[in-house]
Amino acid sequence: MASFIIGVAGGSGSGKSTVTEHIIQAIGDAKVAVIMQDSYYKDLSHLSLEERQKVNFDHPDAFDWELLNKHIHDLYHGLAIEMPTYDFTQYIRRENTIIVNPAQIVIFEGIFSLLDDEMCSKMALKIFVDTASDIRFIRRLKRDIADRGRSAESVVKQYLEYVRPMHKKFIEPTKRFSHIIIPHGANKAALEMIVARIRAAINNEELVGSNFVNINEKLFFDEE
Amino acid sequence: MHPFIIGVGGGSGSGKSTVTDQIVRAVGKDKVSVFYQDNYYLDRSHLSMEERNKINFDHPNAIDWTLMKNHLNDLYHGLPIEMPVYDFTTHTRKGETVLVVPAQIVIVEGIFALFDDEMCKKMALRIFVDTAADIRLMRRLKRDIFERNRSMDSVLEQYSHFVRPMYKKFVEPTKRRAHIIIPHGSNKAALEMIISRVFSVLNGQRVIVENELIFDEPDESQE
Repeated sequence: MASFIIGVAGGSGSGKSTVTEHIIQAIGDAKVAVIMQDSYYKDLSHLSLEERQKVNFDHPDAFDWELLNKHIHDLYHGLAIEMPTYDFTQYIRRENTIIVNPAQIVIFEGIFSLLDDEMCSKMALKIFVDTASDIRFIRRLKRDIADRGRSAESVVKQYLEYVRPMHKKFIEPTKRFSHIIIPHGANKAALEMIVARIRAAINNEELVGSNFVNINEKLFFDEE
Repeated sequence: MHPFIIGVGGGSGSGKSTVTDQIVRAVGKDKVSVFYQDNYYLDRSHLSMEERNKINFDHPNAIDWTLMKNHLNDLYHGLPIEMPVYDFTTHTRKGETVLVVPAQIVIVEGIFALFDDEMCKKMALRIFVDTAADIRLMRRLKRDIFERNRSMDSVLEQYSHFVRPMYKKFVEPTKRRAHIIIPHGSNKAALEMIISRVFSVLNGQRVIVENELIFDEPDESQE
């Protein structure tokens, strides 16, 4: 049986990983395989370091979609994958990979996880974590200063030049492809619903009879 | 123990009742009580028919909040209520009432389901059904013309004068109180999630995620 794939999308700092972590905590890591989109940045070793620093990492083109598609496809069909790891200081792919074994539940987490049609068609549940832009900015600012030793000025500059316009152009529009939107980042009631759904999937429960008519199916993708 | 109260808000024609109906169908009528906000419009029998026709029924003031809050409070504490029945042709309350006995699950459905703080606090799960404005208008147009025998002009006039501005002012802002938003009206994956959660409650799992770090309530100050 194909895996139950969950896409978790939303802007940088929206709380995607909180959602993912809570799912894993509630379900147990033996039953969940996680693919992080961040591991699939393209290897830029053919460019000089100066050229690498000019790359727009908030654009979909910064990712290796071919490999991502293949890996999701493999996990969906019960095959293990070797997830790449990325060196963010050098913008190159590291030598080592991480083996991700197939599981009943697969979570694909990333800012563009709902961007690709083919991937979306494999997802049983598409979640968009929708947090206000100022809150997302505060989180990013704190994270980049604390974890990456960046200056506030450089974080602001990058935010205005890349993060914000790319969010509006590529991330925000994928909200319409989601099945549910979690406003204001992760909240307990929403997480409990997601976890309950996953447990039902693991137990193979029939929830909505086959007589359910999705009246909005036709409207789903051509709405505003 | 209190019932598990689910609030289902969203604009007219958004698909709220589809969500409610599917939950009831999946879980079974005996385990769910449904509380319709539409039954709590104020009785206007003291006004002339002409005056009644001028009332803005899309404004929160058209609702009998005192009675609605009392009734939800009763259900929350396990007491049965006599839900009023509204006559939309005369804008008056009918003589009869409907007995609603609190089940383990209670659904509060209506455009203002997530409007009142006190009511929101009693809800374990708040859902906002978010459907595009044009689709909502089309559904309303169809419903009012075919089911209520209204003219297209009168429906559009009412929409522009009342439905639309009141939606923007009073309904749309309640979205921020939701735990989840269902985009484009009900969809199967979202319904399956809600229904799984309801089943887990019926099986005794009131709390699934135990973590102090996670917000219990959405932060309403954000937008």
